[in-house]
Amino acid sequence: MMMTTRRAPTVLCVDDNAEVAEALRRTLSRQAELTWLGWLPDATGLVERVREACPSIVLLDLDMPGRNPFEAMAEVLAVCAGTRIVVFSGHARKDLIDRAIDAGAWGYVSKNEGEGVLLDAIARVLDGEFFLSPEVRSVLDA
Amino acid sequence: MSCDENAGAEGEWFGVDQAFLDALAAAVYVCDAEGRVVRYNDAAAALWGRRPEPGQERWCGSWRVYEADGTPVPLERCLMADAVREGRAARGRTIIIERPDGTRRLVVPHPQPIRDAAGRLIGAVNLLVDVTEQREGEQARALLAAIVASSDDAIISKTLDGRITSWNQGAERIFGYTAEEAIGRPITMLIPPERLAEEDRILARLAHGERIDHFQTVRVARDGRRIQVSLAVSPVRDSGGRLIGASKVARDITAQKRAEEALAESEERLRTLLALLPIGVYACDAAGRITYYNRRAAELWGCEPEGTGEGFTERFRIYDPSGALVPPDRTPMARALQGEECCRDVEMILERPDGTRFHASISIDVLRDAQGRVQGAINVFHDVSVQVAARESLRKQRQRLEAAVARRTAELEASHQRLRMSERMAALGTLSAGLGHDMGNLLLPVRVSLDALASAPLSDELRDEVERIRTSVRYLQQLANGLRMMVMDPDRAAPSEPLHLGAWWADAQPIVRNALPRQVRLEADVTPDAWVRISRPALTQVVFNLAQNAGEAVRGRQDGRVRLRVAREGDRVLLSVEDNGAGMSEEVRNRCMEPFFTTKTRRISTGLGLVLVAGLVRDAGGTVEIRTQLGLGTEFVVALPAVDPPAERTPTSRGSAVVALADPRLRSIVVSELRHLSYEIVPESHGGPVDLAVVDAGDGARGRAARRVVLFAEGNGDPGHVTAIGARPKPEVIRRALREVTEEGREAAGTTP
Repeated sequence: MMMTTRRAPTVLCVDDNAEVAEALRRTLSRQAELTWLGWLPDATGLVERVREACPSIVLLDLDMPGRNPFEAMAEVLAVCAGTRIVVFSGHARKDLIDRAIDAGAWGYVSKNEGEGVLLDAIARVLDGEFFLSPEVRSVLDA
Repeated sequence: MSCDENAGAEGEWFGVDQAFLDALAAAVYVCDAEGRVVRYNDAAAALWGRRPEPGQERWCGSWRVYEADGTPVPLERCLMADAVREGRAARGRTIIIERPDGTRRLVVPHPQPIRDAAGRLIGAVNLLVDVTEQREGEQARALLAAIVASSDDAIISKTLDGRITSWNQGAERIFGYTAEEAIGRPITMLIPPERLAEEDRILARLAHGERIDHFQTVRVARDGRRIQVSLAVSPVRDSGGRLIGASKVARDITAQKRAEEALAESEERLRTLLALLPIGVYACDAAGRITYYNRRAAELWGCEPEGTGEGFTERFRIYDPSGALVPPDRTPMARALQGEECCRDVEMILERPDGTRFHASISIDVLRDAQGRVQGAINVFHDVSVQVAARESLRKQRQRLEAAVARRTAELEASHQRLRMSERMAALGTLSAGLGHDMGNLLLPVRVSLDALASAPLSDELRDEVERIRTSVRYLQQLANGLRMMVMDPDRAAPSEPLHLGAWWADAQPIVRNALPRQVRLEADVTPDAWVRISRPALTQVVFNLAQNAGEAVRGRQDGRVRLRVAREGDRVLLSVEDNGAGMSEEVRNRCMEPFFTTKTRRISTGLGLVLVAGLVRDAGGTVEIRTQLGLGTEFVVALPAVDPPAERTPTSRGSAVVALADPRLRSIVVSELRHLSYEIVPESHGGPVDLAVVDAGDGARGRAARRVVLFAEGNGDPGHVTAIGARPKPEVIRRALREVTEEGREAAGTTP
């Protein structure tokens, strides 16, 4: 329902690991319905970038140097209400998951799960569905 | 004139008959004009102690003559010589005559010249008066008088009718009267009125000639003072033996009497004190006979010494504190009587004649006379059984306490070690998790690249290579996931969600595989569809440790094998890890669950692996059993309670739910949660009754026909129907509320037919 009719949904990636970011670029670029907006190594310049580009999806790592990603999330939502944040982290911990949801995340995916899970998450969130990957769900159930 | 010249006149002048002379008691001798001793009588010979030849010796027949003061007097200088030579009589001078046998006599000579009718001196006669006895009597009397005068005692003489006749200085000092005042007065002036009868009795006894000795009585001094005196009264007789009076010696014994009384009083006090003392006291003479004992001593002995107390102490046996019998000649008392200063607070065990015993503390003082000879000993002893028992009990308690402290210390040390180990395990878990995380990060790009490669046009050969790489990467990914599972649950005691062993094994397999040496074969059969309630990291830790042990048991063996099996047995799930190693001895089997027990070298073993296993399994409500046979191998069987699969997993619908929330994200979160809980989400437009409605304050669906409502608004709700969780609830609050409502719904459904 938030999808723009003019162009394909855009994705911005924030991850301190350049290899991961590059792998994501290649994975997402192969999806015809998605536009790769670029990559930021930390959350410091995130708000400015979102103000400029107002991406459909922000893939956000949590374990990064620089700005606190949870604080950045609230500002992102303030500057662009249509942006949906999906946390993509190697850490699937109950406290981190709850903080992320509380800060406004639409999804939480573990990096240990396959790329298919991430693509599924992006598609569903773009479709207006809140998404937790299986591993994340199992952590909450435990 | 010469004697020869007068010889002719002998008959005239000296013609006195010899028999007449000899009859005289006094010593008489005659010298002629020349001084020659011509005649003497028997008395003179007795006095001289010799019989000189008449006419042969001059002046005197004495052997030797001295002045009264002892100065020798030559015979020609004696008085007789003067009388013959000078014709005058001499008198009054006392001389000493010494006999040939050395005896001496005191003599007063009375020489008298003899003249003829014509007045011519023709010789002299000497009368020698022996005054020896008379002088000695005088001296004795003088001595006696001096003694009486100088005596400290009162010496008084009295007549038979009680009149004082003499009074010495002692009497004056004691009674205060001078001799002038006392003599002539009645003796009764010294006697107190109430004792006047005494005097009559004394006189009566004196009349019978009796002596009275050491008669203690009281007399009165001049100033009225009462004086304690000791009297000795003797009868006095005249030379005819007639009783004429009495002499009385009185000694002032007031001070002595007072001292005696004080001594007696002090002794009495001491005796009372000793009798009352709570400690036993007895005294022995040098022969060991008991001369004194107090009441407490008899109580401690349990009996009283009879007669002289001889042999009494020998009836007791004495043991030293170690319990060894002390020989009778080495007992403290025996040693003391042998002169040893032996005992001060010596502890001994005394055994009474009846066999009962008590612990005694003994102190002995040796009694010696002025020459240092042992006269006896005083033994002070008391019963210290209670103290000994208390001391013994204290010692035992201290031992027990020390043992307890040692045990607790060991336990504490073990627990400390366990804690350190679990800290190490936790640190290891964190490390593993970090490693797993990093591996995941690295594997992600590899996976992406491989996916890209797989979709590219490749030769069959290359495609096979890519598949092999993808297989390895999947394996690595599993390993990374397994490493992340090593994180120890910080709250192990919290009940875990049901865990599916098959699902767990899919992740844990690489970890367990890595616990084994390379050449060891792992056979795993985790096929049964079993659910247990234990956290994933805990189960992984348990199996990892057991696998590691099993791997060590078969390390280096060509046919080394470790088998992991899961089986259902009643309400239990048995998870066994079995090796085909050497098996365990009985001792190793019994001790292998103890902390720090290990058969491995420290380098590769903590000695805590199995302790940790036991702890984790116990926390999960399970048990660990060891089956082992020497030469065949060992099997650890972990038995965990079997649990039902989680209800949420059942495919059947929990019921219908409608979500009417204005915030699309919140709505989406709730929908996601409800789907997870197996609700069927119906559109808001659906007007029929639902099991659950999740609504917010602005929604008109409040009036919907819903069995339960979760309201996103402030308020108290409506127990049993509406649960209010606030306008912006935290994610965990939403989850909890939805789960609770679902649980209640399930219970309600279960109770409704």
